[in-house]
Amino acid sequence: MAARTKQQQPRFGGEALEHRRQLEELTDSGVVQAFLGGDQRAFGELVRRYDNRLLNFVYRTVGDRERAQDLVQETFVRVYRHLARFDQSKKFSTWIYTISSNLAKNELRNRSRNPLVLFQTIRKNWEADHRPLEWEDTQYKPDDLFRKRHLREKVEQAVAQLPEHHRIVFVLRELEGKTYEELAEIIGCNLGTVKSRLNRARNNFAEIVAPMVD
Amino acid sequence: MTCSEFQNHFSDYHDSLGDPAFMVAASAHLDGCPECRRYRGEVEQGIEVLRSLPGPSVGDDFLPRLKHRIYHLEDGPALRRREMAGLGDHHDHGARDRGADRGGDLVPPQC
Repeated sequence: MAARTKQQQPRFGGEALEHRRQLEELTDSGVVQAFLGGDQRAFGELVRRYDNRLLNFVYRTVGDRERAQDLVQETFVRVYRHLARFDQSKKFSTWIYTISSNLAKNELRNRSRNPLVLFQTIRKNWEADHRPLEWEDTQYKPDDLFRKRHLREKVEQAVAQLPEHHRIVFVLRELEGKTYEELAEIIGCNLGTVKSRLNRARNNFAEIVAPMVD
Repeated sequence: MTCSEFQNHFSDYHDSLGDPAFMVAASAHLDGCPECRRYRGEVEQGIEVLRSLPGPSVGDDFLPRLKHRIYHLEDGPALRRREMAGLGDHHDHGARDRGADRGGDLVPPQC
């Protein structure tokens, strides 16, 4: 980090906007190179590209929005600290998901040793279960809306009920669209293990949502 | 192909990863098996609903907090350098300012 040279940063108005547009047009690899070349704003571009995507992945994995946000924040801090050591022949997205995935796994491991956190999670779910119905879509009748909402909750529960190592693979594949090769790299397993975990995850998922989707 | 064979290798079929012979056999099984068609429907509909769920967004305090954390990243090394130089003052909070003077390498990202 200390070796990074300081470049002239565009600071104001149109110049900054134009610079941001230029960054937006770069590939991840281009943005990484810009940052390593001293363009501090390039890091902001990486944050913009990945903040909500990582949050969605980590939230679906750990089931707690606040904690997920903390873990995504930690992910970016680690990226900032270690980007100079990142092997640029690899995909940046795979690297950043690997960091997030490891943090999420650690969180689940720590949580299993700390019943207090579990209690907090249960309490949050309890509050969600008791909130009033919101008629968000007027084109559906109340019965349809109730069924729709119930189905959404059931699907969320189905994901949450998957065993940890199945859930991570399932979310990365179904929500983030990762390839099997990327999954293998992110979770540090071979392709056979990825296939088998994904198949089991889909089997379990189907079993849980089955009564709701007929 | 039996139902359990189809369901045990469902991912190969679903993601079109099976070899051509497997894909033909799986399609033929599916055509004649309401149970497996139902299974496929459960997985696909469930995933469709999952994808339609609104994703969470980072809160308003996310970027300011991240900038703050990154701004302080160099505090630790700066304090250690002072300690090694015999100037160990654990309550010295001016390290980042000196760091900025050294060449601005502590400039927080412009997020």
